[in-house]
Amino acid sequence: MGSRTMATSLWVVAFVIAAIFIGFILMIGFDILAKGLDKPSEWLITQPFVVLGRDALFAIAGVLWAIGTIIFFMELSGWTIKGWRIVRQVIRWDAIDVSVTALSAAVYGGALAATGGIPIIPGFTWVRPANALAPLFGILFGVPGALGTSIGNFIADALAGYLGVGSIGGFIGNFIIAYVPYKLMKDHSFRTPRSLIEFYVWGVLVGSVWCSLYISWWLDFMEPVIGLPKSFIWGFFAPWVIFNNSFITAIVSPILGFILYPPIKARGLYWADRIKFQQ
Amino acid sequence: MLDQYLALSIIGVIILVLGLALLIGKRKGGYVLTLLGALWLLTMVIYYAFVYAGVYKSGLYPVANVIGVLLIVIGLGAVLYYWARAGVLRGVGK
Repeated sequence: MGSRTMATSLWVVAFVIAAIFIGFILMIGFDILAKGLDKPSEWLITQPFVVLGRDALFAIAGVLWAIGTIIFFMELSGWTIKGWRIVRQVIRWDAIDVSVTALSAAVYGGALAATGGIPIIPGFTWVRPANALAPLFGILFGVPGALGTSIGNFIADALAGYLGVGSIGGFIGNFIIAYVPYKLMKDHSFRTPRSLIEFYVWGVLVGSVWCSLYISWWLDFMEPVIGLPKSFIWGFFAPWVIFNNSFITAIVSPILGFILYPPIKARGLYWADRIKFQQ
Repeated sequence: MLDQYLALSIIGVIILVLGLALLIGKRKGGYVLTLLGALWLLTMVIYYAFVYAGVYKSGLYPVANVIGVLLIVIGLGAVLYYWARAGVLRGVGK
């Protein structure tokens, strides 16, 4: 098989995988609409949560919460995991990195607030088209972009009336949405079949699930303060957050990433051109 | 039990003070911690201002939408202005 045919085949595979992801998410959306927002226990996306039950979910999410929290503080204190080893990373945190964080926070927080007003779960979440930006800020800007995403979500919580102790879970949960594709994708260009497939696996699937379970565990753990029923957290909130994140991310983010990668890279703002690792 | 909003405000103050201490000591991370603390406290100011003005009770929208748009315009404008002056937009950030 010629290299041209091989490349074409890989693109076909990548587009088929993307179509499967988008098709599956649309199917989940139609399923929610068909069964009604008031019947979350019947939704297709809720079934794994029903099967596993609250205790198993709390245990699984607890592990993910611990790993996510350790990674968050590790990354901010200058350490990271590279090649299965913990290594020192040199983020300059100079005026450019700080401005990248400020930009990500302002655009993400502002976009969430500007598109708000469609409350789905009063007090905790809403339809969020701006979610498409979260993985992109991590993919393009690395840790400074991921931190900006956290801050942006925190600001948006206040503007939407959802601010509270639960927002601390949202703070790190949104860092994870940006961090997972940044760290686990090998090709961030959105210009190769590999890049596209990696984005759907890490940016859409794993990032959304991890973020949802992270925040849900925190809401469950802080139930005496927050007061949200556990059945509501695992039977409505968690599956809805997965759908809400992955729906817009699967459709919009690859297009935005394809457009934004070249100018960001050309101006030396792409994270790999700014971060150094020490073995 | 400590009020959760007071607790969040105290966390913001701690982050800001830590950031300023690092900044004064010219230690790495000072800028970003100061930014984080300042934006954290800005969030708390928005919260208390909304409570005081009764925005949460009277209906958030379109007030929150307008502030969101302003946040994008001011944040994006300020950073792009800085990048233009620092030469980042011409690729000097490399």
